Amino acid sequence: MMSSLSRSETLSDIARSIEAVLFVASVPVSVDELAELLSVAPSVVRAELQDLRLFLLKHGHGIAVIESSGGWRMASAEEVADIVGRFRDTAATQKIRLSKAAVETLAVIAYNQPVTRAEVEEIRGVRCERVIETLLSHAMIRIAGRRKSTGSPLLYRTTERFLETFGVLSISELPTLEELDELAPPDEPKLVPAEEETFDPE
Amino acid sequence: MEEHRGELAEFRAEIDGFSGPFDLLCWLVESRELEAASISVGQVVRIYGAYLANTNKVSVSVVSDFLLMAASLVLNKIRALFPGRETLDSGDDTDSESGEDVLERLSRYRPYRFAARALTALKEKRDGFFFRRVSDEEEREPSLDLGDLYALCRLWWNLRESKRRSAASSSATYLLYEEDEWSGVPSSLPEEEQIERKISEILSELTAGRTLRLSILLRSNRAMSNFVVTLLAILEMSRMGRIRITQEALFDDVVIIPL
Repeated sequence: MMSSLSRSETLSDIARSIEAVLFVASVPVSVDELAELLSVAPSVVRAELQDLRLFLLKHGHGIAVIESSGGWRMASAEEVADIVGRFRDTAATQKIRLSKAAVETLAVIAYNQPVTRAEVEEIRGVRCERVIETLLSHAMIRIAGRRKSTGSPLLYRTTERFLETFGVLSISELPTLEELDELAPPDEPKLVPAEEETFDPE
Repeated sequence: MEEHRGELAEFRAEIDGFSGPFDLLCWLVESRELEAASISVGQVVRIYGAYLANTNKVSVSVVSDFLLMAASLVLNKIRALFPGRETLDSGDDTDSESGEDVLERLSRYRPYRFAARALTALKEKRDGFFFRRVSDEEEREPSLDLGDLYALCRLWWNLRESKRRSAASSSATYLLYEEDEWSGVPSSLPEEEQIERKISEILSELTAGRTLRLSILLRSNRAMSNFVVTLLAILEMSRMGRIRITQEALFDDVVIIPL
């Protein structure tokens, strides 16, 4: 499909409308919702979103439109991240700081969900009670029922917020464990799993 | 070793070093002659408990021995069923596994470490973007204590929100304060009112002085809620002396006779 942007250096009415909606939206807006709002087909919205994205990029804007798990949203451009990160409204409020142990625990949960704490501990080889509590309190994981086995242990799953935080649209977008293992160098030193509450110096 | 006594010829076996068959069983389990996991502790305790109760001469000492042996048997069974339990409890992050086990575990864990690295890289990239800050109310997540209750609530809120949105888009004159969100959703009635309605309904059926059958009353609506309300209504009518309820045989139809 020939995009409207390539024909002219201005945005179409639809793209402008999308830009305005994303500007006022506080949560991601799905393609279907935009299509319903603008009374156009979802494929048109997708094409216009790409136009808008390229337009902002090409003209060096301080904002960008990006796709996240819940739909599309407006964000500050990557190039101005340092400045925006120091701004009073965003400094120390938006970014979740995760320890190495927390990210490793998240990885185990993400690739095995739904999973019990005992199973996570079995894989990691260390106790994960406090890490799991921290991840629950940050809504990175959620309780997804109980396993029908001895003791009926709780099952955990990753959340939308997890996808948002790591900028992936779905779990299936993550590389498989086999792919990750193949990418690793053969002489990779074998390290023990990060212990609980060992925070990344970064 | 054995002893015959009286006409009932009570059989009693005693083995040197053991105070009874239960003690012998415990010893066999502890010495690994018997697999604890294969023993039904509940059944053994029930049989031996019944035997002790039948003897009619159980002393406190015998009961305490019995409890001690039962507890020992339970403990042995737990150990047999959870062989790794001691290792897990013995230390926080240290374990006493053999070198091979550790290597195997590390090898199994390897891809997860790479996955964690990949996630960290993704997060670093994502951290380069900043979004419009949502209000504190929106940001605050409810605590997750029970199963998937929060997800269920969120589904309900989303459903209501989408209904509100579709109502807003279909009507240009949609008013913000218009309370039409519940249109189509049946309003709940207090139980008393439902029963009163049902009583009036049944009474109108009984006006001709004819008898009614419960199956006929339930014919038009076989929902469980209707069944409960109808049953409560006829019980209430019976209590009030308005009707008499009879049933010829078990599981037979219930006949309602006006008084």
